[in-house]
Formats: sequence, C-alpha cells, structure tokens
Amino acid sequence: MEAFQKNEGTLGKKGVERLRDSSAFLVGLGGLGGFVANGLVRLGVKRLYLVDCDVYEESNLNRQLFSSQMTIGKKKTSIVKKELSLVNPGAEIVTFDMRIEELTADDFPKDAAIIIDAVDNIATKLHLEAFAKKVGRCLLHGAIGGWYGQIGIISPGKGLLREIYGEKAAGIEKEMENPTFTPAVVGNLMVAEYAKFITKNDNVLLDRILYVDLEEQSYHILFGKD
Amino acid sequence: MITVKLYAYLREKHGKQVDIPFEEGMKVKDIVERLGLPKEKLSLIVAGDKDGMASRMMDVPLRDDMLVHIFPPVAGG
Repeated sequence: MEAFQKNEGTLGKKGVERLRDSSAFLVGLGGLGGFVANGLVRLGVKRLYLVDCDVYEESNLNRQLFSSQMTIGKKKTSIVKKELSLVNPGAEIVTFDMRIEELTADDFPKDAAIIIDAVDNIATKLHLEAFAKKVGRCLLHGAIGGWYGQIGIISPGKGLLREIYGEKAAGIEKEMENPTFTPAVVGNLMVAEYAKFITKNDNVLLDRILYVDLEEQSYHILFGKD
Repeated sequence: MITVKLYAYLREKHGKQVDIPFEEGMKVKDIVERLGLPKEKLSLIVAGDKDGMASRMMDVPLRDDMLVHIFPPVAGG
C-alpha cells in the first residue's frame, strides 16, 4: 500500500493530491510545533518550512514529540528535519535556524500556502499576525496553557489576535504551564484545520476560534455568528 | 438566575461555576464586577447565543436563565 493512502478515505483523492502539492511555513517547534510538523508530513505535504532557534532541553521531555535523552542540547530544526525525513523522504524540509523576527517579507517562500503559529508567547504571535498580513497569507493559530487551548485560521489583515490578546503580556500558561497531552491534542487539531484549509473544506475554522477545555471536555467555537 | 462558568485561574475565588440572581437590565459587565474578575485576565466570553472578545462583550444584555462562559487568555506553544 502506498504511504499516506489511508488519508484518502477521509480527504478524498483530490484532497490528498492538493495536500501533496501544498507547502506550509511552520513557526515554532516546541510542544505544538512538533506535533504539527509530524502531522503535516504524514498528510503528505510537499514542502515544509520550519522556523525555530532553540535547542531541546530536559524540561521539554514531558510534551515535545521529538525530544528525548538523545536530542537534549541539539537544534530543534535539525532534529525535526531528520525525524520527518525518516517518515517521508519525499517531503522537502527547509529549515530556518533563527527567530521569526529576523525574517523579512522578502525571505518568505512564495509557495507557502499558510503560516502556522506554534510559538509560545503573545509578542511573537502578534508579530506573526502582522507578518502574515504583510505577505498576504492566512495564519493558522494555535495556543495552549494547562488544560486549555485555542485554534483558528485568521485571514490576512483581520487582526483577530491583536484584539484577543490586546495589551496582555501572557496567558494562563505562565501559571499552569503545559502538560503532556494538551500540545498533542491542540497540535493535531491544527493539523486537521490545515487539511481542511488546503482541501477547501467549508467547515474550516476561518476567522473563528475554537476554545478547548480538556479537563471538562468542553469545546466552544466563537465568532461563528457574524 | 444567571449561571457563570469560569475557567483556569478565574476559578480561584469562586470555583468552576457560580449562580447569580438575575436582575432586570443586567449586562455582562455587572457579572464581571460582582465576581471581582480582573479585566486583564479575561479573553473571550460566551453569553447565551452571543460571543466575542471580553472587552466587546461587557455591554451585552443578559436574560434570565442565561449561561455565561468566561475564558482567560491562552498563549503557550
């Protein structure tokens, strides 16, 4: 059986083809980013751009997919690229071992269909939202803290994150931190939204926010009634 | 009665859920003030069939038996 063919029953032949032709620009390879990168490669994406400047630390082991005793101290971009290539050697993985703030609009790869926000702080999330507007791409946003998470796809120029975060410096993650399961769940919800975005599924969370509470298993979609 | 569901650190004082007697003319901000919730710790609010940024929801009128969810910001990765 061909690799990734099992996606076809759900996403259709045309959908799988669209995913195979797609490229994504993923910023952040921490808890969310590891699971997003893993999911995108298993969806069969053609090209994946990875942006992160960190190395794995011992404190990442509770939740970050590609962290292990073997990878502590090593660059996340290098390790994730290596691991993803073992899953799909046909996927082209391009790494930027730097902070997103160091990239200009001219550095942005024109074939990337969407920018993915898997970064861990409000200032960088707002920077990414402005960057996405500048390069005219939607932003697939994800955020986590404790039992909670939120995801959504934001149209360029909509400024939803600017409104949601306002002048806040941080969210509940400062106090609750991030347990093992929340990045895995929310990261894979982001992968599902990527699949819907690329395959033009009408149910995509476009300019809407899904707020997830894993403690009570409650899921609310906001901004759906405009 | 208005049922208010709180999440994460907004539960510190009042627990997961609080019932507040409904009064005519009540708005979302009346609940926030009564519970003493710091506005900088509020992100999104759902009040019945209305939802949005906490800052834009303050003047939404409440009806008796309404369920209100108040969510704090999440921004980790």
